[in-house]
Amino acid sequence: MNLAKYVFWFAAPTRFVPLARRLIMPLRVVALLMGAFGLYLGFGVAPADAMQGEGYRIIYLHVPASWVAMFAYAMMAFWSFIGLVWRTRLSHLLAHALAPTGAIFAALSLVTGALWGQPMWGTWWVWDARLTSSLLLLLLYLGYLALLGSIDDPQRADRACAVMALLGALNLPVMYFSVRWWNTLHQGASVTPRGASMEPVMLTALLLCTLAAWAWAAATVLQRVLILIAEREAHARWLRALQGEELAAVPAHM
Amino acid sequence: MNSSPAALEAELPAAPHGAASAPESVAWHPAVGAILRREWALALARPVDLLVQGLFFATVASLPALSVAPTAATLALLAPGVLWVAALLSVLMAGGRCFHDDLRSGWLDQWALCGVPLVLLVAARLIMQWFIVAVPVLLLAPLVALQYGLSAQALGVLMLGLLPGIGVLVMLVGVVAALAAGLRQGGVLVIGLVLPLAAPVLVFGSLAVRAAQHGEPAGAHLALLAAMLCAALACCPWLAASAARIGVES
Repeated sequence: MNLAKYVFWFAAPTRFVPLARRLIMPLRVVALLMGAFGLYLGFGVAPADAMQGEGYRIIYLHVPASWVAMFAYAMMAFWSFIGLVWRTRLSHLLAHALAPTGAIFAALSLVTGALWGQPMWGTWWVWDARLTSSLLLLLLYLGYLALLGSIDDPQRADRACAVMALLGALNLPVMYFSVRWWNTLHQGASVTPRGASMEPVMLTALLLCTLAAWAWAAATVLQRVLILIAEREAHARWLRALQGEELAAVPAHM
Repeated sequence: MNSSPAALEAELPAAPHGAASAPESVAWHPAVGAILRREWALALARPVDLLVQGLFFATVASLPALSVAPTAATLALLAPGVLWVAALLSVLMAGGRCFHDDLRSGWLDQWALCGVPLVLLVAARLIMQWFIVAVPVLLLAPLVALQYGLSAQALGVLMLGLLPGIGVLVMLVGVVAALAAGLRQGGVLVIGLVLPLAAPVLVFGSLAVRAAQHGEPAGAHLALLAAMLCAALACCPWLAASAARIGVES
């Protein structure tokens, strides 16, 4: 019981809202600083690629977008599981908030991939396994959002979407397994757990850009959770009290 | 057709008095058997539905041939994908709304209340549906295979693959249909949600047929389909049951 108390300390919206408000700004600052430095390293300092010339530099957008899209789905499935098992409503809100961000990053990954593929492979789109699984990831996000949008009862929407996210998460390994199954046009992964097949400065830039994308996504998600809480708990006295404090704290803006 | 739900009602154990009474105190065999018999009776009571499903499969599979110049080489290229997509659409058509009417009529509430684990009832229903959907498709697949000039070996691999493949698809459609039960645009929603999930089945199913067309061994692909069926059988009834419970409770 005691352990559960600590684990779920922030599951109460009364404690989560102040935490989220405190985190959003630092995350944005981190995202902007790391993004600016990473892009400077990537576009200004890092050497051109031996094979692909200058065109490879879109990797600094493409790879972070793909990673965040995948990571966001994993987080969505994780929070959905927590929400289904322990009935913590905030977990469902986190999953709902992750879905649009994940969808946008998945779309970004596809678009940057197409822009990269055109000069390198001579085509915008190939039916390569990795591209196809990115497309399927985007479709999973869109399906989740469609289900969320078509259920009016919030309680049912929470749990139904959680089941859908878990079903997708169970299926995702099968989809990514297909990457190894075919011989593909897509270049092999540049960064693997065993090491990276790239220059240190390139890797630094890539990691900085990834951290920036991750921090930006986290800030957006927290902001969206705050909006969802405000929508659902509009009647709650604790939220009005918190909002009242905020209004009182910044009278100059009002 | 009227007799089977009534028969089930007689066989279902009475709802337990306490909300939290232990499920193992209720015998589940009669309920599962009754559900299997009900699905079977419903399918037999409307043979036209089975006929329509078979016709649908054959029509969907025939149309792509009209969109190309029907040379033997082109047809051989098209055949695996077309047959598998037609099978997927047949499963969607047969099962896309399978929990909708049950939720509306209160049938699912009876399931949830009868004290037998909902997972077992949902699993029994989906397994029965697997066989009912697979029969028309498997009966008509040789006919479509003739249209596309599939060799006997490729046809054999196709049929071997369709059996577990349709099972996986029925399981996936079952979960999503339970999620969408009672929703207004549920039909379209089910299609949109299932299509990306069905991709691996289509990929490995058509790879198996393609391998057989080229005289290569297709065992690996078939084994993967069977593995996917095992995973689906292990996971999907739980998800479908919790989805059905969500629909009942709200």
